[in-house]
Amino acid sequence: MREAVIYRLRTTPSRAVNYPYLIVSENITQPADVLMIRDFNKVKEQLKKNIKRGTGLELTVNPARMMDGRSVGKWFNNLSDLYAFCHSSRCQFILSSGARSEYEMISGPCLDAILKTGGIDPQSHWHNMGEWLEERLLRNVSHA
Amino acid sequence: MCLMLKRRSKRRYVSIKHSGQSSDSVNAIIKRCSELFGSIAAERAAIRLVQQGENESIIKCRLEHIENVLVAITLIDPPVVTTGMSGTIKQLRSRGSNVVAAK
Repeated sequence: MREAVIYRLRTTPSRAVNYPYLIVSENITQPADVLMIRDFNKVKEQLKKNIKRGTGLELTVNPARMMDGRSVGKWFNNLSDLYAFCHSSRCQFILSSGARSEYEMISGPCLDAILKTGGIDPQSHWHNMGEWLEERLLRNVSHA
Repeated sequence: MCLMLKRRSKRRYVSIKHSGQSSDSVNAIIKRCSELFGSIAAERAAIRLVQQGENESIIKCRLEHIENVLVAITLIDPPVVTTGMSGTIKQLRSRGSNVVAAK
């Protein structure tokens, strides 16, 4: 990929743009490149009915910072369940920081440690993620 | 005669960027580590503050527990960013402001 920054947009741009972007939504029924998942168990049944193959399902790390130990355990369980669901429904699992400031950003080794703790092989995850991103961005290409 | 070799456990030095006091951040990391992985694992990780700065500090821990420590660093509030990691403090210092790619 040539571009280092990928824009997260809520709606498809009305005009042609010369930057890579992904449509991100929290509404499961809305068509989007990436759907943000807060509590997988709550939306699991709805996802089974509505999800399109190839959609990215994103879980952010940020909310887990505020949680107590027990809730973090449940969050890791959610992470593993979502990964298994993505695997079976041919969707892409996405783990992101959800950072709003520079201090909330997460380094690569830390994300790898979280993936490993959740029982996910980081190497294959990033490989699949790269392939999925390339394919998705090719779909969204439009030149101004 | 059986000789036992006493080997020093390997360590990892991690540089972290924080907004508040470095000692507060390290205490938060130790507390979170013990909360998530248990007191024994947290104690075995041997998380120690090596060098403290205004916004950036260096901590060390045992290599076999580095994953738990990184998870604990990621899941503390106020947030802390890992900016570098090395087996020797000398190398970590020489890298200076070379930041580990954050996502």
